[in-house]
Amino acid sequence: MKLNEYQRAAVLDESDACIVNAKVGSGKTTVLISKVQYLHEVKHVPYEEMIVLTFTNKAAQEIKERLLAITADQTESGIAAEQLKGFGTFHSVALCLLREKLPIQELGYEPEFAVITPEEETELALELIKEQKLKIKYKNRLKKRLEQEREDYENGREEPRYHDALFVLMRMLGQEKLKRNQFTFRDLIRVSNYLLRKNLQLKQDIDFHPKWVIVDEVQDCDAIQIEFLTQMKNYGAAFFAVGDPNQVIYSWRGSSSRIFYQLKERFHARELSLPLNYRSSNVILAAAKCFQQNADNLAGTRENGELIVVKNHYNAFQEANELVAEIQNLNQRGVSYHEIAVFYRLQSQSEILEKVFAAEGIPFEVSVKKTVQDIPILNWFLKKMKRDCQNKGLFDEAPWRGAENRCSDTGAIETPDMSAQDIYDFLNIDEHLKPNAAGYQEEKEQILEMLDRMRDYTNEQHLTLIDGFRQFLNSSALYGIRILQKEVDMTEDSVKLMTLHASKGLEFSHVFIIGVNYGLIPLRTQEFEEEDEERRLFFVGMTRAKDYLELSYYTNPDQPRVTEGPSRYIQMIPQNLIRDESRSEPTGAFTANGKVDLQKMRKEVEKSSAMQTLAVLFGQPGTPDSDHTNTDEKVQKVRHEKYGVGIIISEDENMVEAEFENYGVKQFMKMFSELERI
Amino acid sequence: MKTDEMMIYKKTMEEQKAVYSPYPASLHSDMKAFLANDGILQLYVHQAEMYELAESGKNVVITTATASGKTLGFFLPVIQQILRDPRTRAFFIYPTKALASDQYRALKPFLDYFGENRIFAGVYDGDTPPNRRREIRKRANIILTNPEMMNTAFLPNHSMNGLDFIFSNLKYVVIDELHSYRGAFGSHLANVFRRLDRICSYYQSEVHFLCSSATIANPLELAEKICGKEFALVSNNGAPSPQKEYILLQPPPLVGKDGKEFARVSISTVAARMIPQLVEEDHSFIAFAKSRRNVEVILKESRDRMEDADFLGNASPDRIAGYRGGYTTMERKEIEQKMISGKLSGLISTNALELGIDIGSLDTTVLVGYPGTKASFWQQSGRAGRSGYACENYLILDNRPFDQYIAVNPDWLFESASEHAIVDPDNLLIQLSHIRAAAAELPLSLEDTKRFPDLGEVIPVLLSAEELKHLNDRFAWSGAAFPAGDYSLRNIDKVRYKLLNRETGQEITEMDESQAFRELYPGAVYLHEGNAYEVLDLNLTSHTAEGLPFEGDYYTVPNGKSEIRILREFKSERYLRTKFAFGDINVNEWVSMFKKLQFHHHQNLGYEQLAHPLQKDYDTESTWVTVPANVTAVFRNLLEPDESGNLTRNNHLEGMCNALRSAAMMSTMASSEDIEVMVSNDALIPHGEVDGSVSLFFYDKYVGGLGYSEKIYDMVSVVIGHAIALVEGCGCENGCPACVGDYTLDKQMVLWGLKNFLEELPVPMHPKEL
Repeated sequence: MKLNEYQRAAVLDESDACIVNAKVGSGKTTVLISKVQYLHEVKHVPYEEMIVLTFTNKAAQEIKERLLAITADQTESGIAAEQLKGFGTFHSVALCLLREKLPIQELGYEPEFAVITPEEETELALELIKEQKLKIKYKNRLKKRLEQEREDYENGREEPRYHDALFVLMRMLGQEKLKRNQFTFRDLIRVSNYLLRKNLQLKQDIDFHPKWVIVDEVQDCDAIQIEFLTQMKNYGAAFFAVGDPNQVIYSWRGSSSRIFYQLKERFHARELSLPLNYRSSNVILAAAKCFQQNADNLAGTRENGELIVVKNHYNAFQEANELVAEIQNLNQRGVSYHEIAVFYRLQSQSEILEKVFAAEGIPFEVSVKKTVQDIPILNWFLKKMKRDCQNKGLFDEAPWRGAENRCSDTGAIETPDMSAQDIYDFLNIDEHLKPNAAGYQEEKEQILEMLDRMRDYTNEQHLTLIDGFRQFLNSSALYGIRILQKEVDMTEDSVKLMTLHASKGLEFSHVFIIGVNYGLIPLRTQEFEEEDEERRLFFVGMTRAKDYLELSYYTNPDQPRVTEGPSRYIQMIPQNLIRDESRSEPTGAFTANGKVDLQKMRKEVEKSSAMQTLAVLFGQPGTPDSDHTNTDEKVQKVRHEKYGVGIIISEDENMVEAEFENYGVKQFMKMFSELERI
Repeated sequence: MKTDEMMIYKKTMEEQKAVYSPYPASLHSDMKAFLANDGILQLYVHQAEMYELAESGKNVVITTATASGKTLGFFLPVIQQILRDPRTRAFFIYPTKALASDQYRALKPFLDYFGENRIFAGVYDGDTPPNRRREIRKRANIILTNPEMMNTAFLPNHSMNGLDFIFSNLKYVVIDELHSYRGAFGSHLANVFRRLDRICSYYQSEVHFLCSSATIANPLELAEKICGKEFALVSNNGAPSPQKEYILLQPPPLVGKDGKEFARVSISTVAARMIPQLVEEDHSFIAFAKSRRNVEVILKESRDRMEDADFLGNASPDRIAGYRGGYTTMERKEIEQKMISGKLSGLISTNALELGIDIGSLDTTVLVGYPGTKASFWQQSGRAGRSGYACENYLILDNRPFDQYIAVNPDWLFESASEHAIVDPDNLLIQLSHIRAAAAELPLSLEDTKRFPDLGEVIPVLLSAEELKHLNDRFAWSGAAFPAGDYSLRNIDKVRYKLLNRETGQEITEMDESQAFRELYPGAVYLHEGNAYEVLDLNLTSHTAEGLPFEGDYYTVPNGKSEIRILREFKSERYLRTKFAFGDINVNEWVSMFKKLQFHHHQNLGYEQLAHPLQKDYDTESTWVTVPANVTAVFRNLLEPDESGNLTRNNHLEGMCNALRSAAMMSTMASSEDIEVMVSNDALIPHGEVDGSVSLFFYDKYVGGLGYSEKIYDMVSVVIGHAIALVEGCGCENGCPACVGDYTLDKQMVLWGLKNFLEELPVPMHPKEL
């Protein structure tokens, strides 16, 4: 792999702690992988002794795949998946530690603990509130409160913000999760931190000796993740991290743009930088620079490239149609679909794109991050099933009942042959879904799919239906999350649709960022910090583009609280970097007192005096007079259904202008007119 | 004043027995079960016919009478389709909100029987709360709504809020009361459906239309023009009908001291006399008055009458109620309920109740004045006799042209063909309005020229105004936010002038521009329901006039000129002694001065010049008929000089215009705001060429025309015939406002003029020469 001097310096760096300030598109992942490879091959550090932490499964997967691909090329024996156990997201690495290395029994947990989602934790909390009759304010946003005030609680603050029983609840919640042997995502890291720290203090020996901890996108760490890194370091690991302070887009989750510098201080880390962007054209970089957190330099390595195109659309539907036309155009010119991406601020903006793309036959994939809880119908269904399955006799009346037999020799249950549809019908789900409702088909399919999973699980576990279901439902968190997260397949030849958030870490030759209206990009924010983050988010989106970037806004946005017209982000880009293709405002020639004067417009149609403007518009200045003087030319006549016979005065490829007795001069578009030549 | 004494005509329509048809074989078994459960063991023939036609994929218009079970005729095919495919969506479109709510109630038995998971329906209009709207968009198989919602809510948002699902699964559009969509309203609706057609073809759904109409002469033509598709007609009524009596009442004359009739008792007074008697005899009735104000007058006078010492009955004043626009929904519901339960004996209503609202069964209707169209007459009188018992229907004739024409020709009402409902979907202004709205919904393409014939001329103007942008081979909207909100469906010309009381700010009346120019110029004395107002100011920007109550003893008549210029003749024909033609004309009307005339003896008190002449200049469509030369010659000789010496007075051609206008209105369901008849400019030249070049112009009072004149062209002979009958049969002695428009004109002379269209007749003796 060919590295530039900055990249090489980072890979070869020998210091105990090193943090690399990597500009967007500067080959961060390349450096990370080269580092791993270098450590393994040159410094002979076994993969098992490296902890490589990422923020998404996607990133972890990419690193693993590239590593496997590289080593496969070489004659060296391939890497076993087992060796890469320390490669993964913070959560999966912590989960692995807790399951295999750390003495969680000391705290009262069992190694086969379950992981629950924040939604499930909230539900549990609500049960507790009810059971214990706790007085909690703002229960409708309990999930948010648990998230926001947890740190207060953990830091030993005495009174919750709203002076209610929230901290009592948190204590009970902790006990309840322990009793149920359940961890939230956050608990995975927190408990790991606790046990790692305690073990070190007590000098107890555990089988955990990391040589290196390597972190991707380090700017996204929150407080407990930094603590986790600190523990790694305390266990003797050397620290190597890459990140970009300009790309902090998860501050709502607790990271902050200052973290990069805090880390540097805490670990006495050496700072290196990767200043050269390899991805984007200079024009795109120059524009992106306006949205950088720090006004430092962003140097490119490529040609200037195409100007950034700015367009406007009447509404989302029209925009989707125009995107279709543009993408078809690009595709015909040889741009593969997978090189094209459309980014938007809110997931809800994708629906109309999906519908129009599907209707027009554009292949596409949508990156969605959805858990069961995000899909109302599945959320409802699982709750209903949890409730129903408390009744052990739920399926007693089922038509397939009695087909369940216990295998005499193994004692396993032989599951009867009933389909998801049978169970669906027996549970009378239609009653809730309502066959005449618009979303019926889709919702039914989702439920059948879920039922299929539940049935498969039951079969695998050799359980009776009711027992299998109950067990499945208690572990639904793990199933749900894994199953429903749909990530785009970058190798598939399709246009990728995703939120700006989801675009992080990806690159495309052609990027369309839509809805650059105030209220979407940026969203309406209340605090400066949120506003900063909106800017960084836009920065992330722009810098995904290699060659072509198009920004568009709505003149008549469909969403509430979205302002029509371009947001100030478009104005922040220097004019010389932009090719403005947005349609000019209507001339207002027919507007009086803010109202359009249709009568006046009608007269104009009858008069057709808009000739000048039109000639310019079609790039062919009309020469009506010259035709008159040219006596040699034969007079051409036309017939119109309404105006009768007229004489052609002028003509170009688009327009015909003819004069009719009593009606005067009229203009016609050739494409649409019913003129007949005579 | 006894009813019997006022009766001038009585018509009995015999009882009709029902004609049944068995359940169609293909009818869904659940539907059969529902009908059987409801006691309907067979269908009427028209219901079965409608069902079969709809099932075979035809668009159907049905014209059977009120109370013939048309509603079930609609429901059968639609519900059949819903039972077959639960995703089915249908729009039911009603001209008023009240009717949509009422028809929702008619659907209730189906909804209750099948349950909302099989059939879900909802009223979606301006009053529907947001969460209910959401539910309807998501689940309703049947959406009951009005044309305005279609125009501004459904079509412009077709891609959002789940509406795409509705349009993708749209199978039926049901239009009730089709005949109420005529003139501007109908022409707009036709364009709304052109837009619907584009949207449906985008979502690849095939929509069928089911319409019902009152009896009109051209139901197929109207349905096809409005919906843009071919239709099949169902008109054989299989529903039973009880014996019905129609009684025409002529109010008694008022005789002066000189022994001469000077007027007739007002129709409101006659009604107020009849109503207490109806209550006393425990009839169940409804009386239709022509205005809100008349409702209140009749109500009050009837109640007063019941309390009078000389009223010998026991009827209680609270057994009658008014029912009109302006009442709240709650109030209306309560009144309807009381009527159904029998707590009320009768209602006095405006035409709000004409459109099929259910108030139980009635045995009597009283029409206080002819409602203006036969369709309305049959609908209003059709309110009675629903229960199968014989019923009586009274029509109290007003002292107005139509009413008095009916007095002499009752057969016109009962025997002759009904009127034509006129629409012109291609009116340029209306087309333009909807082309703009359409562009914002989906880019315009070549396909759209089939829907909007003038698209090729509209696009360049929209392009030049930057409202459209060329996009490949289509044109996308780039104009202002909401073009579908730039016009009103019920009005072609949004310009309506209001007369306000300067002191109280109260609105006295409202009218269109050309009428305002003739009646609301500064200085005009405007007469309104017996009160006089002097107009102080006319603001052409805000379209308001201000006036104050006026005590003076004069009235005003505008003076100015109207010029007509023929732009192009499209077609012409000869009919007996006249030639008539259809084409485009330019009308230039202006008012520059007015004269003041004393009340009673009409003494001219002098002229006043307007500071700013009022002018209205527009192109429209016209049918013109040439006046035979002998008539022109005679009438020119009858002209008399006015105060300034111009020969403008005693113009008998204007008498002909007046009669022809009334006759044309009768045939085309037009109102005086829709059409005008005018004499050509050369009529007043005393010794002009005697070659018959003087013409009478029928023209549409809408820019670009709305189709009235074009229809008149097809009916010239009928219109002339009606005009002759109207003048000949008028009860007046020698010309009155009802027949020739002005009592100073010689009725026999006008009649002679009209008859000369048909044959040359000797000039009658001019009374002055007697």
